Amino acid sequence: MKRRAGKLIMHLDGDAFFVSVEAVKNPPLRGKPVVTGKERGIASALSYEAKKLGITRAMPIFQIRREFSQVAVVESDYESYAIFSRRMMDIVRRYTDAVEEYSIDECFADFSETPGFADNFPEGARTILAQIKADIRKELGISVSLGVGSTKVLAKTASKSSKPDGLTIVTEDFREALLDKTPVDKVWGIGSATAISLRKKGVSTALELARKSEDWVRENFSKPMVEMWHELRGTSVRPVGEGGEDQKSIMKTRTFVPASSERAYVFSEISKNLENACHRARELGLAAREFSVHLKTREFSYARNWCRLGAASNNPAEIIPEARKLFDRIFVPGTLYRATGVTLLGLIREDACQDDLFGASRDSRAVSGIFKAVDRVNRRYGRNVVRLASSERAFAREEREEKREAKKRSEFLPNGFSRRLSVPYLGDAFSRNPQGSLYKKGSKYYI
Amino acid sequence: MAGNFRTHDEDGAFDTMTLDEYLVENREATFMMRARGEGLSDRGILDGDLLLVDRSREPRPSDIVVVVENGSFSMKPASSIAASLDGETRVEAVVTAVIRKY
Repeated sequence: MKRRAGKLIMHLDGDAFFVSVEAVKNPPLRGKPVVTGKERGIASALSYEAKKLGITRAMPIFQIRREFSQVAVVESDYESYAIFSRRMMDIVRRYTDAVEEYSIDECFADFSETPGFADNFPEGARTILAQIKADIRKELGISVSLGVGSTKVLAKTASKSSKPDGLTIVTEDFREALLDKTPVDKVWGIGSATAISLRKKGVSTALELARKSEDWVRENFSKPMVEMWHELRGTSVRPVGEGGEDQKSIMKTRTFVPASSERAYVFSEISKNLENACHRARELGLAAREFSVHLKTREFSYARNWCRLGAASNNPAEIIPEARKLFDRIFVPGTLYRATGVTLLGLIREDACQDDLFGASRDSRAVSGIFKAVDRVNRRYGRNVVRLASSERAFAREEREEKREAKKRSEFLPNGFSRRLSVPYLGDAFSRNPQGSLYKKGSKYYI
Repeated sequence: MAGNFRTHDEDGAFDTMTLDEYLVENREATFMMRARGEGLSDRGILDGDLLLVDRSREPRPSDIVVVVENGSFSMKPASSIAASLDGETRVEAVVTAVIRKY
């Protein structure tokens, strides 16, 4: 047993995460080639079996259907992915409090202080990591790949090096072997332009970069590359944040009672969710590159739609026209809806936003300034005194309900009683009739 | 793993528990399903009931479990599948609560 000094950081990566979640909910998909993204018309996530067939991300669905008829194409269900994601992170939190949710299917966790991890390295560490994998497999039904090293870059390189269902520990003996088989463009944080520039200077693997002198790196590159060099050599310069800042999605949903089939009202709920989500993004200094809207009917059925924005934004006035288009394509007249939601995805730091080809985000930044002012007014005079006209009806209804609820609560309910049960729905569970006869599900019969 | 029960201390006078806290023992492993069919009516599960199922719980003979059969989820008494459990059939979850509104 030996005590290991310095940091020990884990990177967790969900294996084909979206598709794996679909397979938990829908058993016939297990072990089959599956793609998600039916609602967008292009593949957004693939199972390993689908990758093996040669299908790639962003391939058009019509092409997949034509060339690979055996592939199951399903709609993305961002709400389920978000719930599975949160549960996956919460399982990691059983073992350490220092968890940073890096994206919907990835997190970093600092295990430096976890008893039995650093003080019994690597054997004790391996036992704890195997337990985390077993918990996630048993409780959520999905597999993950784990990497552990003394820095975030090493941990992430390790988790990527063995997938799916991998468990890779970067001991000092193993570090150079791992970096030797990692091309520079596969290193987290090295973009394709930087990789080309490195290759021109004769550096094509992560190991070759790590073996350069610090002076060489300083002379040829800027500060982030110097940090990268330290991280590759095992000196941690990027600490594990405690989530929040680096999150990659923000979801706002609300259930309304009674359910409504009125187009204008249901859209006002979307608009309000969007405003709330953008407000949260501004608080965190983040902007979204993608977003999705969903509608939920009274019968637990969902409709979703997704789009990519021309330029990253946290400005609801700018996103609303896109949301309107998505909404119009999924709203079915005459259907009673009970909830709507908006998810901001592909979040990046506001200050890192790039202008789109047409410079549209420059205007957007001016409008973003307006919303910062709105945030200040709302902070001062109460939540949402200033809001988009398109959200008006939803806000007004919520306020009426809140007043009514507060009154009811003050009469006979203790606080916190009405917290909503957020348990994911897996669908139907059948039981055979005693007579062995058929049972009915909707219009279909099963033996 | 201990369930994540949280209690609300109302002015320090007494503790109350929410219904989710009462019904859900392991939050990460609990899912909701809808019961279909009357085959388990003698065990108190009727067509249309909402079920809470826990994937982390080890089944006991007296439990109702969820398995995958012919591509869909089926509910069965754990005692009835113990004998016929081949390599293919795996217990997905244990039914931990039945919710029925009248």
